[in-house]
Amino acid sequence: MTPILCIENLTKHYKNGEKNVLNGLTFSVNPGEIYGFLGPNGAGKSTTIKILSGLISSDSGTITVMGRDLNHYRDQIKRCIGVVPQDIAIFPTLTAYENLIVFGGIYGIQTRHLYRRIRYLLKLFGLDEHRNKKVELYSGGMKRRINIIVGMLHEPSLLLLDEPTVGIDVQSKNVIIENLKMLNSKGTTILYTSHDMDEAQQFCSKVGIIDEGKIITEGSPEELIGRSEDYTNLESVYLKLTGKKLRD
Amino acid sequence: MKTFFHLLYKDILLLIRDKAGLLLLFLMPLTLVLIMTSMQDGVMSANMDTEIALILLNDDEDTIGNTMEKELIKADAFNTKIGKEIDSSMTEEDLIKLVANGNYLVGIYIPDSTTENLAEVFKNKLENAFKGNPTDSLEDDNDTMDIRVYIDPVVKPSVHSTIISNVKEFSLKVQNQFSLKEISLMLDSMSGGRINNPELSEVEGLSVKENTPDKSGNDGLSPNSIQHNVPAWTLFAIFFIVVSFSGSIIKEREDGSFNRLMTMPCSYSTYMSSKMTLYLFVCIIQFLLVLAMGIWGFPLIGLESFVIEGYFLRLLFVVIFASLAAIGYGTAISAFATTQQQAAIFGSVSVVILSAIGGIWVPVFAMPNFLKVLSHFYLLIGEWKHPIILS
Repeated sequence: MTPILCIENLTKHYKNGEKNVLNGLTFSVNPGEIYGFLGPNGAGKSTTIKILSGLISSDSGTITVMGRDLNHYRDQIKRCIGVVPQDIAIFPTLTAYENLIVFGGIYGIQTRHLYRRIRYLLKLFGLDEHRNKKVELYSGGMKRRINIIVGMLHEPSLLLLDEPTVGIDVQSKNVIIENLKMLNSKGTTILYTSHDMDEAQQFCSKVGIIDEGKIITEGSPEELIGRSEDYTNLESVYLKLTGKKLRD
Repeated sequence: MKTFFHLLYKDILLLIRDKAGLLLLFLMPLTLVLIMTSMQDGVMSANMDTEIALILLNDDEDTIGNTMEKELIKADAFNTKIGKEIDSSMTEEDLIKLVANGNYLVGIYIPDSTTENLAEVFKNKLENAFKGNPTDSLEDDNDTMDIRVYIDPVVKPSVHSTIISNVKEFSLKVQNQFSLKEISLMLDSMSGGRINNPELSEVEGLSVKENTPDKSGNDGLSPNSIQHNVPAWTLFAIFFIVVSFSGSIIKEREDGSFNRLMTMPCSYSTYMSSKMTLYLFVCIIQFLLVLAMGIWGFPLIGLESFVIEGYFLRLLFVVIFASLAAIGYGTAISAFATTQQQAAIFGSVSVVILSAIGGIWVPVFAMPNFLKVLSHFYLLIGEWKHPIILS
């Protein structure tokens, strides 16, 4: 099977940084997978997502998305991927509906289809009643949901989610996870970062643990847990491999 | 193109939702132009246009006193009141009190028998002159008659000089008329009536006519606070969009929405061109509003109407390029500033400093030499004669 995302020997060093953030990062994601990209703070998760999103460039290494080199087909690839950043990145003084019209329009979605898609997603995420309310008046959970909808509007082949459920209540988290599973069942591949190991264990079909800029282990959650009798869940695997030392 | 229009739609929505920003963009220039024009109009009128309150106490009540009275009443510079009409028993001391109390800026006292004394002096001098006897100067202490002028000490030196020169001009005119009349009467009596109509005092041979030079050769508009302030402060106000413009860019950068747009099929140039297009229209609307206020609003509050001569399209051309310069400056600020506060403070203060260098606050000719050189490089030139607006 040809991977939908293939990263090889990726390196990145920030100008004022002491060491490389990415040190020959190599992994791939197959179509239809929910890939959990896990690691402690400063391990290189967000840098990888930024490089994949086209916000920054890597120092070396190659990235291919759907068989195309990211550096050469950046614009085409941007149309095929959806990005959900960790921070709520929408226009707070616009309503949810207006935000989605703007972002959908930028993706070039046909107007009639866009309206249908917006209504569908708003209903799916329980925001239809609040569509004409300014986003700044939304609760944290509602903002998270609209933040995710923006990334799903154009039905991307690959969805990059950077901690999509951080800081929200259980109900909102449940709605998000269920809908992401449904989206995945319809063919969307998901690359997902999180610090919630229970959520990752239940949600991901494959997990890669990154530390100091490279993948230190990879496999399905069951496979990783089964590698040692000491492992009882994904969190124990994670702590064993990355250590208990605090990270900045 | 679809991306551009969706970004423009977003920018329009963001702008109209920001009520404080809208006030800054549209109400501030109107208020600024209105206040600055009214203030400068008031200052200029107080010095030049408004009549100076003057009281004249004419104890002479003869040719010199009456002629002086007539001339002062006719003069545009003074609002003359006649002391005897206010109080028939008014004395010089009363007149001094009225000026000292601030009732009048100027008080003029013409002493009793001024005409009679001057006539006597003239007659003696002329007779001696025609007889070939040596004559003393008219300025001899014994021969001079004082017209005493009292001026409120709060009057500015420039206005003080204007008053004194006006009064001196009138007294000289009256004295000349009087002396020429005496000479003509003497010539008449000496010739035994053979000189026909010898009223030399009526002759007005030399006059001074004031004209304003104009580069275009037209008559031109006389510079006043309206013709100066409307274009100058409109350009100044256009540059205040740098605060709103750079603020909107930094805000989107801070809240992550800019980064999100960059993860989408949206280039940085498309992102900037939608903002630039919107703010260009904002500047043009801002300019048209100020212009409309200058033309139709000012007369409603007692100011003169702003007059545009020449081609309006050329004026619009200047506004478009001034707006683009302001947008460019806003872009530069947004690139260097890391927070909205930095952009707002630096943007507004730098615009004020640069406008001062450009000559909006003080005319360029009154600046030190190094600032004059700097002013040539700056767009906000607010000199008295804007080449396109006034010609």
